[in-house]
Amino acid sequence: MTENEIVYHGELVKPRALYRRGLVFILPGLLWIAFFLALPCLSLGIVSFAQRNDYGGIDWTFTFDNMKRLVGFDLFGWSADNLVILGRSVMVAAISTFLCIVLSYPLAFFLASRPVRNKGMWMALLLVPFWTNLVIRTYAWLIVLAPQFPPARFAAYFEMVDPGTALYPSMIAVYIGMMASFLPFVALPLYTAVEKLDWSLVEASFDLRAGFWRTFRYAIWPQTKSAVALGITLTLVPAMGMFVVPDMLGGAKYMLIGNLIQEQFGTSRDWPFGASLSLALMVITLATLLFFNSKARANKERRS
Amino acid sequence: MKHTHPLINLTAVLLFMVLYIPLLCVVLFSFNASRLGMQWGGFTLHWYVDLFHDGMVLRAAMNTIILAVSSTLISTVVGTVLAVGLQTAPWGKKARRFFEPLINLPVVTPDIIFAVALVIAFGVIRSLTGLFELGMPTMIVGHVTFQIAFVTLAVRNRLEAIGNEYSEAAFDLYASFGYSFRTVILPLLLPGILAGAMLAFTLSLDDFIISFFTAGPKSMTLPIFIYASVHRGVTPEIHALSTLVMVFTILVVVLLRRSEKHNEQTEAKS
Amino acid sequence: MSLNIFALRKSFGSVHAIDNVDLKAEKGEFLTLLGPSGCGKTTLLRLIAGFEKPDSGIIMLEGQYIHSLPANQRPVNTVFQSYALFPHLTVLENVAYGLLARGKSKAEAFEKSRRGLDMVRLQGMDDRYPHQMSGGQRQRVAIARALVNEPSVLLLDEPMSALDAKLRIQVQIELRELQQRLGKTFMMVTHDQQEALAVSDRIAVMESGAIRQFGPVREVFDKPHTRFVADFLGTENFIEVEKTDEHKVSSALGDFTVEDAIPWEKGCITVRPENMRLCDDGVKGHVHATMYRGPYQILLLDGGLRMQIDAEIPVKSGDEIHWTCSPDSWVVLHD
Repeated sequence: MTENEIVYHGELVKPRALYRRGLVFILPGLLWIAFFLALPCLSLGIVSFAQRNDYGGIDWTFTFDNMKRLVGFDLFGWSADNLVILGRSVMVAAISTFLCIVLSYPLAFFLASRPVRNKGMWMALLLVPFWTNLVIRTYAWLIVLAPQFPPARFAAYFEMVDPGTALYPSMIAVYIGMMASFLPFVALPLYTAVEKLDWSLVEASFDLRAGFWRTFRYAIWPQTKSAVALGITLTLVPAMGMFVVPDMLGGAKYMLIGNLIQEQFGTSRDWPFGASLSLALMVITLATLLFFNSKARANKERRS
Repeated sequence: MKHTHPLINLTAVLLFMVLYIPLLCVVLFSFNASRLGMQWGGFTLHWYVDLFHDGMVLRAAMNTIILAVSSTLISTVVGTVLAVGLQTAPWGKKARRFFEPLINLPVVTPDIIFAVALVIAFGVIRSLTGLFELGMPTMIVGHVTFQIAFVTLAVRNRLEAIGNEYSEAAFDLYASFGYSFRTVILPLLLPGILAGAMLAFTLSLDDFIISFFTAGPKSMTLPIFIYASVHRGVTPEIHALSTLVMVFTILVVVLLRRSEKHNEQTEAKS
Repeated sequence: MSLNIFALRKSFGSVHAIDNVDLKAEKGEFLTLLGPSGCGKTTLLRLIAGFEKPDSGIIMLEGQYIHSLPANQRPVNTVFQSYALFPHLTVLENVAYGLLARGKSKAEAFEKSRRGLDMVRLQGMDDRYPHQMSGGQRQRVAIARALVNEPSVLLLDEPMSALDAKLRIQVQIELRELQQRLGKTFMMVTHDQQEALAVSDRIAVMESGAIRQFGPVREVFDKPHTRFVADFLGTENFIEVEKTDEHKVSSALGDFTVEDAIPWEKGCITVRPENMRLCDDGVKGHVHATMYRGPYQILLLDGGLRMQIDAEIPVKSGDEIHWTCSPDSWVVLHD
């Protein structure tokens, strides 16, 4: 009997042969990802330390200029503009995510309480906007928020805006657009969790006259926590890098980092600066993911 | 069992309205005879007719389909093979900790970072070798790279659901690895492969950011076309185009759900 | 002999799933591995089938060493607990799989498979799919799929666990009948002692990776060697006793005479409820409860003893009775 053979899924093989065969399968995919994903991300890091040459190309002299620009130091001294944009992006993403979570609860409970024969229909209704192209979904708000329509007229009546102006470009419009985009991302996982909710806990809580907030905190929240966490990862990170929504609904006054990055590849042609902005966004993204990852692991450990 | 507070129901219905009203407005105004924004000028279908005569729209639609089909084909093959390789060898923890994040990277990073990284990489390669002019090939590359993660996920899930027993049974019945793979594993894998492919297809159709950054002058896709047109000024023609895109999307989603249900039913019986 | 297992060992990490097992199976016998979950019976089966590689030891089948052969080269076929019928193939294609895999022509393979299906009384089901068949039918397809390859040993892993109780009894009879008709060696794994008793020629009772007792059905049932085996086979009356003489013991409940030799000073003896009978002057017992069981009734006595007597005898809770049993009904346990 050969010493180093093992039985894997019923097959008697040498581990080395197994790995070799596995490698043959994996190699194309891994090579593709290495070449078209890992390498580009690496070049992102490298280029962010380069400079823009006069023709809008890349001048390969090493410089920290882009980093300095990130935190606000450019030719004219220090300005907080870039940091403001970064901060605004994170804030908008965070608030949008929070709003989505808050609004997803009624949505999830509503869906869960539909009679079984209707549930499929309501789910489909929730999924259709989810699958519709982001560009279409976003520009559609340009109609709804137009000056002649109820929302703008309503705001003008209460003197929140001048009559005849649309509700865009504005921060409100950006928030509305963000929320409408990401609502299904949070509502769907939450709905799954609410479906599996142990109603006896909720009812027990009501029986004990616990009131709404306590019921939520002790009966509902613990059971839906992980769904919310999933929704956050699906929403917060993409929201920070969002481009389409602020572009169409926010305009030049309410730029987010996505817009600033795009500018460097469009009109401004400053690839190195664009790269450093992307790098900054990447760092924030990774930090967020690591943060939630460690929280999730801490939760698992506490439970086991 | 579940009696929800009427306030919850109201909020939910309002939210549904918030999600749908913009889309319904688009549909509505696609039939608007008046070209001027918000005035209703009567019902007409001529914007839809115009669409079919608009060369740019047709080309954009063609590009979108070509892009989606090619990228789906490539990513399905690569992703399936990748998933099989991952599941049919006992990779250790270290190896997995290396593979998994690498494969899932496109899923968790914001599109724009990936798009930018691609453009820069292409630009650098271009300045060195003259290859990778922005156009359909670069778009396909971009799409395939993020589709692989989703296809791999779908196929791996299917492989795990299948389990080891069929493989063992095949070996018990004198099959070799090749024979068992061909006659048992691959056929059973097909639903997962199809699911992954359909997912990849819809993701490609829907994509804007990556296409936007990696597109060349002649390779505009529908989302890019709509975006550019909106910036020039919203017209009912765009509404008509958007409506058609939405209808197409709904059809694809309905097909997806139907095939999912069909799969679940045959699975449940076996 | 047909199957010979010698000094077989298999560990998973620090767990000794199979701990130095010896087993010999005769050609044409129905052998059952009986034991609780985790005792290693399934592992032993998988080692014979080739789905696990032993750490050390020998498996010999009809004079050939098979322990170093891959599963697909062993003349052994398995009926899996969940049957593992290929869902995308028809019943006929499933049954023919092994023959086709070995290169037989389609015509020959399908012909043999049809005969195999006839043998398990599923003729005409060729073009059905597994998901269109009932549990019992699927089991028969699995059996046909294995037997059509004419293995030296047929392995069955808890084949009846997926069937409902009524069907189980019927299938047990059919399985036994099939085995005897074919004259093939069958090795079955189960945790159900009633099932083991119903179909087997010999039973191997396993615990923690070792065979505790191996022998003909009657012998294992009537004369369990250890407390574990007795308990697993449904013995209920355990009495702790002290040896007082060659064949006499005494306990708190009374003194007994046993036929077997007594190898210890203090130990345990056991007797089956149906071997106990009422008498005028024997061990005193207080009836705590009676349970009606159709043709007979069970009396619950002190010390947890259960006694089985005719249902017609008028006994009720609270009665004082006397019981005894013959010396050869007592089983002296060896631990």
